[in-house]
Parts: sequence; C-alpha cells; structure tokens
Amino acid sequence: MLACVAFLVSPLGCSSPVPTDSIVVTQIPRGISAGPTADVLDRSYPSGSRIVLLGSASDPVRLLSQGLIAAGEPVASFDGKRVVFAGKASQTSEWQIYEASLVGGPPRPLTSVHGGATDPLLLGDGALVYVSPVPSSGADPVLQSSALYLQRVPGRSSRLTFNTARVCSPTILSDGRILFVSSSPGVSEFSTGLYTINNDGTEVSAFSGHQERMMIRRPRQVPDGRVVFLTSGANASCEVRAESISMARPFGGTSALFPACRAHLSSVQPDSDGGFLVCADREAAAVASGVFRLNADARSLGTPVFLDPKWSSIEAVPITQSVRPMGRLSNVDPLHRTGQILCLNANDTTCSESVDGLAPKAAAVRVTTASSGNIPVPLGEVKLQPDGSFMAEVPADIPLGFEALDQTGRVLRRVNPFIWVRPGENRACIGCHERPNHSPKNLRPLAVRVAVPLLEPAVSERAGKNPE
Amino acid sequence: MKATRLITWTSLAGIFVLLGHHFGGQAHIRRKLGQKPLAETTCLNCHFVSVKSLPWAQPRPHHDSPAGLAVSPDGTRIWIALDDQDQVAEADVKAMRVIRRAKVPGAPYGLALDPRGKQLFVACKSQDRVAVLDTTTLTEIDSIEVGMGPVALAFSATPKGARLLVANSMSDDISVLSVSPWRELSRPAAGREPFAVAASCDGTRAFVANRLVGLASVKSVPESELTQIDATTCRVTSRDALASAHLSESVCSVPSRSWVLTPLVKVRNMVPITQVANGWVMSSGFAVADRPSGRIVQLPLDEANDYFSDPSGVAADPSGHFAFVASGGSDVISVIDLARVSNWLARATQAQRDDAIYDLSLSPEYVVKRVRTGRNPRQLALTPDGSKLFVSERLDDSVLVIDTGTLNPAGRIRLGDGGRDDPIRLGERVFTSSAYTFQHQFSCRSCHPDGHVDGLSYDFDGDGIGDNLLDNRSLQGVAGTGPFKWNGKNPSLEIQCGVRFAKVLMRTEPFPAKELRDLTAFIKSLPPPRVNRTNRDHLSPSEERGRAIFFATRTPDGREIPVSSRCVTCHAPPLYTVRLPFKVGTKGQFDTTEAFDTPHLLGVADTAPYLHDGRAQSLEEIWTLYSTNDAHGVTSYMNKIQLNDLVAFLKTL
Repeated sequence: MLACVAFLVSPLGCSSPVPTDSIVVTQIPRGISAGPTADVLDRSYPSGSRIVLLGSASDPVRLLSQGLIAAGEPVASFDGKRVVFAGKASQTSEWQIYEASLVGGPPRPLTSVHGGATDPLLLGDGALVYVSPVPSSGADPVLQSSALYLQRVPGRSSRLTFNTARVCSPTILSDGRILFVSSSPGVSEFSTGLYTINNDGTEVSAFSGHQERMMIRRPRQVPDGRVVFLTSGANASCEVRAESISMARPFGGTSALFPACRAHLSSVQPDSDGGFLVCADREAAAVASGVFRLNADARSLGTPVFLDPKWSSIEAVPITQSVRPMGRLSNVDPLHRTGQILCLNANDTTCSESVDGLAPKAAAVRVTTASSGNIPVPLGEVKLQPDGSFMAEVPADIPLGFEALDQTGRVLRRVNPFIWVRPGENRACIGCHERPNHSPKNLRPLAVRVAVPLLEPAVSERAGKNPE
Repeated sequence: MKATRLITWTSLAGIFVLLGHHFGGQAHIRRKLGQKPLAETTCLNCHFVSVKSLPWAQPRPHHDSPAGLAVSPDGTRIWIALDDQDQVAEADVKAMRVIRRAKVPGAPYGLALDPRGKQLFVACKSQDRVAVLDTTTLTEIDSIEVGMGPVALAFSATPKGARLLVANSMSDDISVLSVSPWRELSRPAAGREPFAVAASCDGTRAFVANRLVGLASVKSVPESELTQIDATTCRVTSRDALASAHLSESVCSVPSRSWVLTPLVKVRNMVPITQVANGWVMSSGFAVADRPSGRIVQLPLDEANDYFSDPSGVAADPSGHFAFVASGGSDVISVIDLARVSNWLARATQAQRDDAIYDLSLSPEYVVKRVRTGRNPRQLALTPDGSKLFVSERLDDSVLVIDTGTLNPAGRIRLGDGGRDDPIRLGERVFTSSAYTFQHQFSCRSCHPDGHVDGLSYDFDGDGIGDNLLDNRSLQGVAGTGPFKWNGKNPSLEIQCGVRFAKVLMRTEPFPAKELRDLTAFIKSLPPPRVNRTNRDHLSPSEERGRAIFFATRTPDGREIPVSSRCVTCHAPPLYTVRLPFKVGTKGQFDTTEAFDTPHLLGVADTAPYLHDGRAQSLEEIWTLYSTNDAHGVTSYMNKIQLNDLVAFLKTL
C-alpha cells in the first residue's frame, strides 16, 4: 500500500529504481481554475498539472513532468520502464508528446507537430501513436477533425486514419489492433463509437460500443478480453459512468462496470491483479480526487491507495511488466496509389427500409469520397453481379462512402465517407451494414471473375484528395 | 615478372574453366531438359540428390506422445496409446502415474475396450492391423489385418454379436470386425480420411467422422462426410454432408439425447483471403447431428475476438449434461452445456440454425467454461460415471485429469519429459499452436493436418484478388525439394514460413528466429506419406508397365518422345522433381504466371487434388481433362490401359 499522503516531491534529475506495484498519476492542483484556454487539453490539464510516480519508500512522489507547465494522459510502456504523456512546455507552446524514464531524468519530447499532439499510445514494438491536431476549445471538439499518427522514429510520423471525423483515445488490444473512439462530424446529433485499425491503418472496422448522443473516453482492454470505457453525456456536467462491453451475446452490449458503487470517476485503468485502478471522488468538488483499487463488484470506493489534499488525482496507471500485444507486419505497399475493395454481397444488409421489412435489392453501388465540405462526391459506379458482389480499385488514403442504387439510380442505402483503404490494401466486407461479428459464407463471389474497374476522383477533386 | 605471368595465365585459365563450365553446363542443362530452364539451375537440381541424406530419412528422437485413451469400466485404470514409441501405457487413475507399458509395434494410435475391460483393442496405424491386448497381462494376444492407416475404433454390441468398427484413415474405409470369431466382416467405403468412430448408445449403429472433404471441383463448396453404419448389417445407412466443414477428428454419441457430435473447422477457401479477421479464412465449431430428424446444425466454438482453433477430441458425459471439446491449437477444453444447446436449438428458427456457425457471438449461449490444458490437447475420454475427463496433451507427453464436477484440473499423468531438448518436438509445438496467428485463429496444422494436405485450394491475395486458386501442398517429404510455393519464388522453408507466412496468413509478426528454426526442423523431419501397405515389396504387372511408360524415351510405336516432354525430365528420381518451374499448359485466366514449380511425387497418391490450382481431382484427370495437347508430357498416344498403368505406377511412389 502506498502512502496515503505525499509529502515530498523529489529533486530534479534523481535516478533510483522503480519499485514494483508503483503507480503513475496525473495530478492537477486544487483550487486553480483553468482560465482562458486555447484547446481542450488546456481545459482538462490546467497549468500546474503534472505527472508523478508513486511508490518508492525513499521517494514517495517522483515528478516525471519536470520542466513542463502542464502534463497529462500518461501511458506506461509494456516493460514498465518508461511513460509517455502529453505535455506543454510553456503557455504559448502547443501540446506535444513527451517520454520520461521511470528511473529518473527530465522528460524528452517525442513529437513536434503543428497543431499539437495528444492521446499518446505505445504499441508492442515501442512505436508511438498519437492524435493530432489537438481540438481547440472554441468550437465543439466533436466537430473537429483529427487523425491518428504513427511514429517509429522521432520526427517521422505517418498518418493512420483518413476520414474527416474526430478520432481520440487510442488504446492497444492484445491482438495488436488499435482501438479508438471516433465521432462523426456533420451530423446534427453527435454520436461516438469504437473502431479498430491495424498498426498500419489497414482494415478500419467498427468494433462496438456505438453510443448515440454519448461521449466515450479512455477505452481499455482488461485481461479477460472485455473492453471498459468511460461514458458521459454531451455536457461536461453529465455524470461519467464506467461501462464494459460484452464480448458475448448480445455482442457489443454494454453494462455498468461498478454497478454497486457510486462515485465520480475520472479514469479507470485495468490493474495487473484483475481489478481496476480508479481515480474518483465521492462528492465531486468537495474533496480531492484520489486513487482507488476496485473490483467490479465493489460497493464503495473504500480506502484510497493515494490521496493528496492539495492535488486532485485524475488519472492513474499501474506500472508493471505486462504482456506485450501482438505485432503485425504491414501489408501497405508504398508503390501503390490505390487499394481494392471487395463486397461479397451488397444486398446482405441489416437495413430494412421497405414496407415489408426487407431491404430493397440494389443493382449498383456508387462509391463516394468526401469533399472539403463533407459532401459526398462520387468516384464512380459499379454494377453488382447477380450474387450481389462487386469489386473496385479505389484511390488509397481518402475517405470512402457507398450508396446502394436501384435500377433507376435511386439511392436505397447510404454509408457516408468514413472508411478508407491503404495503398495496396485488399479490403473486403460481407455486405453493406451486414450483421456485426459474422464470418462470411464459403462462396466464390462472381465479382472476382470480371475485370476490376478503377474509380478515380474527378480532376477537380484530386487537389484536395488527401485530407492530410 | 614470372609471378605476374603465372597469375595472368592462372586467371585466364580460371576464367576459361568457369566460362566453359557455365556455357557447357548450360548447354548440358538445355540438352537434358530439352528447353532453356526457367529458373537458375545448378548441377544439384539433377545430380548428387540422395534421399538417404534428407532430414526425414535420419533417425530422430521418439516421444511419449499420448494418442488414444481408454478407461476401465471401474474407472481405476486408463490405457494410453503411445504411437511414437510403439507402446501402450497403463496408468493408475488414483495415483496418477503409469504403472506398466506394453510393446505394440505399428504406431498404436486408437484404443477401445470391451465392455468387461478384459480386452484392449489397439489400432496400429503404420502396420494396418488391430492388435488385441489382454488387459490382465497387458500382452498382445491376437492381431488382425484391416484397411490402411487404422487410427480409431469403437466396440459395438449388436444383436448379432460384438463388432469392432475401425476407421482406416489411409484407405478411406471402415473395417467391420467380428470379435468372436475374430474376422473382418466387411469394409465399406467411408468419406475421405475417416479419423474417428463412435458407437451409438444402444450399440446398433456407428458414426464415422472423416477428416478431409470429398474430392470435387475446386470451385464448388467443399463437403466432408459424417458416415453412419448399421453395425449389425455392416452397411452404410447414411452419408451426411457437412458443408464447408472438415478436419473432424472425433465423434461421440450423446447419452440420453439422440445426438451425435463432431468437431469441425469451418473453412472459407472459396472467399479471397483479403483478411483473417472475423473468421475470414476459417473458424472452429462442432456439428450436432440429430439422428431421428437427420438435421445437422453447425455451431461455433469461437468468440468474436478470440478463437479456439483445431477442435480435435469430443466427449459427452453419461448424463448428457456436458460435452467437452479439445482445441488442439489453443490448449483449451471448451465445456458445452448441452441443455443450453438444446434450448437454443428449440428457440431458433431454421434460418438461425443455418446461420449459427457464422455468428461469432453465439458460443457464450452454451460454452460455460474454457479449461486451460497443456500443449496440444487432442483426444478425450471419460470415466464410465463421467466424474473425470482425461485429456491427452500430445506435445507435453502427459494426460490431464479434469474433475467434471468442478470443471477444474485435478491432476496430470506424466508420460515423458515433453521433449524439451528436441528441436523437432519444439518445432511441432510451433506448428500446432495458434498462439502466433491473429486472435489465435488457426495454426499451421489447421491447413496441414499432421503436416499433410487438407485437400483444398485457397485464393491468396498476394497475387491480387481474382479467380486464381492455389492448391494446398503437402509438407510431408518436402525437405530437399525447394524452392517452394507454386511459383517457386521461395528458396527455403525458412523464407516460406517466415515473413511471407506472417504477412499473408498469420497477419501478425513473423515467428521468432528460434521458433522458426524449430518449425522448419519439424517440417523437414516429416517423411513422405506412406501410400502402400507395409508388407508390399514389389510392383504389380500393371505398375511395372506404368513404370516403363514413366521412363520411356519412345512411344510404343517407336516415335521418339522429345526430351522436354518425358516424365523423367522434370520428375527425375529419387525425389521425382528437378525443382524447376515448367510450363505445362495449365495457366488459368487470372494466373500471373504460366510456369509452375514441379512438385515431387513421393506419396503423390495421397495428395489429391492435383495441379497448381487443384483443378484435377485425380491423377487420371491431369491427362484426361487438363493436358490434352501433350503440354504435360506426351500422353496423347496412351489408351485407357496405358494411362491406368502409368497412374498405378505413380501411386507406388
């Protein structure tokens, strides 16, 4: 058990071993208002916010974000030796990702990107994934576009997501996929959902947890395979709940993570013992937030493992050597400028828009991309084969949407530009809005026997092809 | 000056020798092949090839790998077949240790016990016989010849006397034996590679699970067979198709229910392999065959983001409460609540039942527990009262004991050390483990059962999405036959199984270097499949005639066969391949090449289908349907008998 009250902050540049069972915590000073903010991180992590390591007997609170005026969003490496986090060097600078060794030493900047970087994530091979740009505080962050980037070598990042939505809160699943939250801009009532990509941006897929008019934050996978996350309403004043996604039936169904425990949560992180490390307070602003260890059946927060009356602990990450997620060799071929899409049956859909409850049969599919104003722009049309299949070669790294058309060209079903293919990627799906978590039937699609049409944006659209 | 001159002349001589060797060698190669080779060729393609020097011909360590299990009627003894050691072990269940072993030559694999527990029947797969052991003395007291490759047997008490039904995996039939007197009554045909047999609870019928799909067009949906036999009349009474399902390695009747269960791999070889997520290549499940109605429902074992690959053994407890399925690739026993299965089946519509196997979120409806095991759990057996489940942990040389009351491990019977120091054994562990693939979806064994073929063709997307299937080739006898892949692009197994495999199929990282070394050591240790009975030592007249055709340089009417069109030019002994690509007129519309690697022919009789895309279901079809222009050897002169002779000879290799 850690000391409940911390007394000292270690001197700069110390170097001492990291004890087992230690915790990295984001602290924000109590009683300080955020003041004018340029972006959403300024609001979440006001000046004075810091990252500290708890757990050493001789050095109970070790400052990891020394030299930065604000810091937050810590993520520990799988070997338990370092931590990356978002930090801000001065009032006028942008948020960037920093790395700190847990044995001591000043933090080292990892990124220097225009627009700032947030939501760091470490892959199994140590590569950094982050979100950029940081949404400004002026407009609704949900309506601001951002993307995931991968950085293996400092200063050289490659983009992983290619639509116009806002993405945030990436985490790594044990199978190596990157799970992230995405919202769709341009819709009247915002919604968020969980999506996955591979570590090269291929195979973007809906995961689960789609929430209408709800915000999802901080998804994390627990050792038993479930994914837990925080969810809240659109307003900052709404209650934050911790939920878990069922991997069983009904697949994707969510349930309260701590159904018997009432608390105001700011973060939930799976712990090494099967429980959770939770930052919470009992009465909102009346007392400081502390760090607690909870099991799913906890009825109360119990005794905090760490509580400092001068600081609110809003994020806590256990430091342990954990199982490294699976890696993956990239299937992206940089020599290609296109990818291929194969749909086994565009009429295999859960959409039922007709009176009889059956989806009307489509005869063709129009592939679209997004213009700068998020208006779908046609790339071209492909006739469906008798079995409903179609194939097309499409430009890589642009948002793609689909419209199922009947014989007269009337749009029967529409998917707004959201997915993409990477260069050289062969992307396939069972149908349009097919049932989730189903595997395909063992049938040979007729579309593989005909020439594959190349669909390209009109010349006027090519200039703004890549959202990057 | 002299030294300079010497160096100059020596260099010139060296260059002359090298050029002479090169151009002379190339001329020699062109003369021998009758054409310019389509790949880099050296002397080693045709010369200095010795089968004796190949890894699979070398002695290798043998291990106490448990195969079939049989439990005594009182549940105090268990017999364990140790095929790799030619032994059967007897263990005390209470003490959880082996108490004695018996030598049983012929790779004893499957076991069955008579109802009194006096006689133990042993299927000896490499000697094509069933041995009878006296359980009191644990000595062999009798033996009877059966079909080829017997791997499983079941005892059945019929109104006309006791029967023993034997699944002969290599001759694709079932030996029905009378126990008293001890003789073979009949040998009806099964599906392809019958691998398990179980008697119905009343003893009147037997059910046979077949591992491979039947031979059919590669562009049709593959089907394996669940064969039902009337044990009294020894006749096959039904052949139920399991669509797009194969690798059924076990079967059991469910007491108190009219069900037969068999595990299966749901394969999707018709769909281009653009991804593996969502079971795009294969998934695991089991079939529930309801006997009175004849209805078969395939149900998934997998979960949406975690798979339980290579389902192998299945057993149902005497009360019909639980069924257990061993997932050999995932080291897990899935515990299935059969009442929940029954409830779901009763609720489901026909459409839901038909689509059940595709629903990756269905299994939590009836899988109530996953019990971790040692490496590669394969065969299962229950005590007669159902209180204990025994699991053969094949690559750990142990038998796990599970308390079926608590569904927790209760102990382990150690047979050997697991072969920790043997790279071949370690490589087999890599080969059979799904830990390296995305979401543990499959292992190498999922497509290469026992290193052999699954009889399917797949559409990999490395050469683009199109109608270009590739036949799955056997790994048995593959050592020394590189390069690999049908286009001959991979010079070594290390490359074939390394990055390429990770990118195309595993969709993860390549095997770590040590695991890759072990894996290839295991693959190279696999001998070619046995295609003849063990005691066969000479060719039949038809095979002799076929041999003459194979090595012929002239047609029977005296016309010379061009060198490039002689069988032996490309399929030169001893491996029956010169390891070069040739054009044999089989390029398909979407193929990216017209020259294909020359496969070796050792054990070719057992590797159907044939040609690079598996279009030929039999050796005969290679020439009768797909080589009518003498592009694949001069065969147009052959009459039916001559072609049959040639095929008969090929089947002896």
